Amino acid sequence: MLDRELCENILEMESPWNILKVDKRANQKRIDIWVSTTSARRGVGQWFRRSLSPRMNNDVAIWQHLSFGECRVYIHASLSEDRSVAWLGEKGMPFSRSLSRRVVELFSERLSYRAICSLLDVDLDDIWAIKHALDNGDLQLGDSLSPTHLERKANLKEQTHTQKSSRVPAIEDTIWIQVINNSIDLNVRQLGLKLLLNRVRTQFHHANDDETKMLRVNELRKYFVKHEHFLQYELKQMTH
Amino acid sequence: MDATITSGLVSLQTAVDLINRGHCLVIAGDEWLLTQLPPGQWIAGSIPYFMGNEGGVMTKDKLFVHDFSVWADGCTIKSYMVEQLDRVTNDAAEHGFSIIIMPGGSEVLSSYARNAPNYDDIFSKPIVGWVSGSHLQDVDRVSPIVIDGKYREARNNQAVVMHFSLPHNKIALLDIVNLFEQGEGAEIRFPVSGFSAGECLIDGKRQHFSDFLSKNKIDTRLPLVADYCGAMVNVSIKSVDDTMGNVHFYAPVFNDIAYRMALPVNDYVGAFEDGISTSNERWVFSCNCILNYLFMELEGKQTGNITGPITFGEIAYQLLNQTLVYLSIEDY
Repeated sequence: MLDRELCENILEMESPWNILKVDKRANQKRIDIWVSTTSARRGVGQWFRRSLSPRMNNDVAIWQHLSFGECRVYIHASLSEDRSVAWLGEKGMPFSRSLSRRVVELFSERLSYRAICSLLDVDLDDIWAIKHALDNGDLQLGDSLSPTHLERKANLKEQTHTQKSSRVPAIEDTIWIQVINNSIDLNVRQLGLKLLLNRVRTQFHHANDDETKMLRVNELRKYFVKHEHFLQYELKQMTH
Repeated sequence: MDATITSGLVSLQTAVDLINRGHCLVIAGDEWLLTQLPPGQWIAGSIPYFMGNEGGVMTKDKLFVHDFSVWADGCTIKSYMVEQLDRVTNDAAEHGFSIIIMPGGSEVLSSYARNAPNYDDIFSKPIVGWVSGSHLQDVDRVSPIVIDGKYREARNNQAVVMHFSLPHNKIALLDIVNLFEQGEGAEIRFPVSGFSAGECLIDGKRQHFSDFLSKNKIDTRLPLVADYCGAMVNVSIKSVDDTMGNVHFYAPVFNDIAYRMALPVNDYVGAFEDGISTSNERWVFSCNCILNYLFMELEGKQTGNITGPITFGEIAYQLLNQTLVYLSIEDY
């Protein structure tokens, strides 16, 4: 049995919310957590029985939340509660708000649905449900994460880079593979980049599929984009 | 410590005054002194060894203070149990830096040492810090601790972290000074990652690492050195158990990394001064390793004008050994 207080800490749960029950099913990598703003045990037994099996009935829903290690986490709560907290979701949605945000962020990174399933340990059907909800405007995550906003943000980023004459090569540029394969003699000055490059090279070498390799390339490029101002020495060697 | 200095050895009373005036501090010192500090915006770890203005010193009467008050507006303090540790990079500011202190010999340190190199964003957000310890004579009976100044409770099983966000015209840069380089001896690979090793591959041939050390009369004060794309990363040898054939380390060896024994450093102080190629005026934090203090006999000696705690492990993104780490704040 997992400690309720520990789970409350991990979820960063604050009053009046509390955890009524935590269930780690034997031999399953799954944790079920029942939460409520009502204190303690009043009517809990009946509430549990209502909420245990279906994903959603009239007033109780179950949302998959961000995993704890290798365990999937499912949050059970009444739909009558205020659901503005990150670990609950929208009515009819499979994921908590936090997990939905992560999925949408990964959509914006143009990861494949299969890669997202693998990264977040979620089911493909549920990814489709999120995609469908997004397409139909049924999922509200706030303006900052709406797909149109993300698209605009991506375009704006691209424009800003163009305006600034960014020297970071495009993701498709073969220079990234050359850097990772160590086939160009890149002299790196910055400690963070040295350590990251070492990790990327190792993971790239062990990757079995192109998608995973692209993730590594993207990770390296993102570092250059973020730290471009201080990587002029390295970029000069790459764009020479 | 006068108002213009942002780090140095101070008396307990000075540290108390700084805290009471609302300064934002990272503190190193003996546990007895640390537990007398008032609540405030500070984190601390136990250690009685320092590099002060007069050189290396062991003292239980003073505290070493790094003062980050100038960045205090963007500061948050968090503690992490082992299960929460991988959130440290999520909690770190997108544009800022983090100072971490972990208790020596703790599970949380072990977890960080083994797993931090694979945390998301670990190398994108500067995280620097050190491992707390105790007087070397007390190692077997005193548990190193860390303290979150808000609660003033000494903990031996948590990491404490100060996360800072910086204005957009400033950037934190993290780097190391490692005087050890790979020697030209055998390449050493370990089949299993961890804090100890039995069998390993020496130039591709299986051999017990302890046998390799004894047969080749290796000076075990020298670390193993790995080349991480130009960054020399040390793993120091803690002890050699000849009867069991095991060698224990102060940081984990990794199964996908190639190591070589370090070249000896004859004049540490001289090499150190040569190694600091740039001005350290913008350094806001630094610490050095207790093994350098011991093996290079730094007591009473100065290493340039570099000061800071002498620690049981250094963190520059990941756990390092026998290395000086420093953080500077530059104009962006």
